[in-house]
Amino acid sequence: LRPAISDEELMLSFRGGDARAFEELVLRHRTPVYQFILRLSGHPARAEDLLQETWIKVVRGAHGYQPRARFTTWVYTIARNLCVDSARKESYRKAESLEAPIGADDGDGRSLGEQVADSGENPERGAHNRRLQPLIEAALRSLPPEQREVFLLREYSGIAFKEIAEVTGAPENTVKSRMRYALEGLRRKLAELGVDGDLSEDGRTAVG
Amino acid sequence: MNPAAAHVQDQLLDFAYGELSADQARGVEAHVSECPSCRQALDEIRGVRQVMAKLAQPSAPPEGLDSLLAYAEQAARRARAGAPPKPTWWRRWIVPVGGLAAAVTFGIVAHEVSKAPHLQNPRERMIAEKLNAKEEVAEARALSAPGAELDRQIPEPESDSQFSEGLGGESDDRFGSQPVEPGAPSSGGLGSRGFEVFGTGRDPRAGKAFLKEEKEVARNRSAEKRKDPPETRRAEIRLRSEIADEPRPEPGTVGKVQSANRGVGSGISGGPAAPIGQSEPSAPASSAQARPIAAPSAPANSVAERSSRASSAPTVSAPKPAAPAPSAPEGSAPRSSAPRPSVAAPSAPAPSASEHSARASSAPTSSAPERSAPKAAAPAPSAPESSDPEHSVRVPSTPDSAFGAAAPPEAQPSTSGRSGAARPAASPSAPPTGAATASVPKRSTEPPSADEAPSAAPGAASERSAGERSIAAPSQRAAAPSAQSKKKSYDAVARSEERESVALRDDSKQARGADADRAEAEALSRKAETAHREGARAQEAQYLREALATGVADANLVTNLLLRLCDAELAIGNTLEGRAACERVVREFPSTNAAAVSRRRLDESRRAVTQEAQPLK
Repeated sequence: LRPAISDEELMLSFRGGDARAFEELVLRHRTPVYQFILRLSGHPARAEDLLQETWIKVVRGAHGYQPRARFTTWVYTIARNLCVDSARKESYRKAESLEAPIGADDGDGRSLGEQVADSGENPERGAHNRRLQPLIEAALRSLPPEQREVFLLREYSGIAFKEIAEVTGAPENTVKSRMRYALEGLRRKLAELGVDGDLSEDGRTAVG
Repeated sequence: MNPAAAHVQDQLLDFAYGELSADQARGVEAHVSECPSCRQALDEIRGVRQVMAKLAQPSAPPEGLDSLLAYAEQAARRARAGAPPKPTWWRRWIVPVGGLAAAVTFGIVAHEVSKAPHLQNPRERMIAEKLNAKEEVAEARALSAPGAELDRQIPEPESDSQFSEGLGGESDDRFGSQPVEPGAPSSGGLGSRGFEVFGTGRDPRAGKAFLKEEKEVARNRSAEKRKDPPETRRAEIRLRSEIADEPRPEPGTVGKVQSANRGVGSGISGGPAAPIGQSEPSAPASSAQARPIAAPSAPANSVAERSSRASSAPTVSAPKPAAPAPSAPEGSAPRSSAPRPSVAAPSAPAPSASEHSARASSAPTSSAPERSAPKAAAPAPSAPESSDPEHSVRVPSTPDSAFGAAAPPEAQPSTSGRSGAARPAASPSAPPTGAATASVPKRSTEPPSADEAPSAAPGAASERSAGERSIAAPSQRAAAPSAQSKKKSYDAVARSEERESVALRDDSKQARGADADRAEAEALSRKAETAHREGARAQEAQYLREALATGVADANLVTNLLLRLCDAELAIGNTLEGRAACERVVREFPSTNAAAVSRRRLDESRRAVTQEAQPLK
């Protein structure tokens, strides 16, 4: 369903004092933004904080919002910058592995991939995903951050390459190069892990 | 990936992600069909994408959503109220410029004060003046002239006027405001400067000047006590003893002085007499203590008395000034509150010059100013308090009123919207009650949530069949008291919504498949969006109801439609319908962001109802 009211119009309505417009924006984009932050940061608790911070920044920046670019570009730029800042702050700490237990506060000792895989409703599919999720997570984690963010934005968030260039501040050709490298790296990593296209059941992709 | 296919790499990527135009896509497709390397590259891209698509997509946790939406609503309220005015350039500069001006003014004043010769060392200057006065008094006595004539003969020191002008010009009006008889005889005989100031009555500011002078001297004394050269103090003591050793004036002269003092005393009853009276008990036993204060005829101005005072003054005032000096600035406090005892005024003589200094030093030690100072300062804190309520009233009223304005009024739907006559108007597409068959899905007959549902009525309704309810509903409406009308109307709304959805769903499911339902629902959703843009919220709600009635099963779409229906219904005042839609989201999709939004809207709706009910109480 393509919304009749665009994100930009909603944002302008919110700037004019319509809180319902912001609710609509949150409903549309909160989960995709969360997924992007979660994959980029690799830490669920931190991802929640960054998600909240991102939307708070959206609210704060609403009074000066001008629809020069797409709303998604703006939101993902905020989220991406927050992730980069957070990664810098955390760089001196020991990075937590996706396979490592997240901690007593965050879950029941399972890895992020295992926790994420529980979202499947079908038991067979759930079991399949539980088997596949750690491998996919590992492949994704093996990418350099600049390639990973481009892949996440394009593959899961559906942001066009041109807009990704705006989000990351890199030229569009550079973005496409990173995307190519990311795809190639994933293919190799998945092959190393014994995962190929045969694991895909329905042949569908995430976005577009 | 094969480097041979580099010439279409960019386009392959765009092609794989659907970012090419139709013409470009056709060209790439044609190329790929002929070029094995490009086809292989494209297959690799698609294979990776297919695998990575299996990555789970967790939904955002609802934690923090409520606070975020509350924050957004606050921001929206501010936006509705208008942006805060930007500070103009002069507002930005007013504080630093004002501060600078104040600093410059203070510096100029300080510089001028330091340059003034009569303010550089007032104590030395005063001693010199007293010496001059003493000589003049002696001269006057030698001439044995009457006091009035003496007063005229003795020239007023020029510096006095300067001193008075400089210190007592504006700050203290205690004496200037007191009635001084114009024809009162001026002091004579003693001819001291203090008498001149108090007794002449020619210049009201002279009294002020004298008090100021006293304070200044006291301050200087306290400051110089520690470091004064003993010569200066000795000279002063010598001077006082000399004055005390003066021969007693003739009775006629004293009487005149007394009469003059009486006039002065009546005019300065609130003046420095009180401190004297209070400080004197601390002095050593002397005739001054035994002096009959109330006896006007007593020779209170006798030289012996002044002698005792003068002799005791150094011993009394010596230890004291250190303590009262800090409280000297508080001398203005008694002006407002402390009624000074006027008992000493009629009888107490105008003191001699040395007594003035002793009095000035002892005046601040009196307890009256110290006690009254806090009292005088006590009302000060009440000033901000009085302005606070205005502020505190203003603050809470803003959000409430803003929210109340945005929220639909509850009275409108509760009074008219729930009646049987008004209901068809709210839902024109509602089928007749006979259309409600028994094939109501159980899900749609579930009661609203317990916290929102008014008691168990909806719960009981869910147990009944649709037909029973359709029959029972009119009788219930007819017999229901007004207190229960809300519950029943709520039930009726739920039932009518179910009837609509059931009737339309049955029709549509017979004729179309799920895809057709979705397509129709999307088309109606688009119509609703258009109506929303045009401000036709009732029409929007109608389209949304129809879209939901298509029986579309897609959870995202249903959630979207329900939330929009909730918003539209609340906007047009159909509170119960709006709540029903939101509660359905909460009921059927409890762990989603949409449920969190719905809960929030329900809370807002309840708050709006409560706020509207409060003024009625």
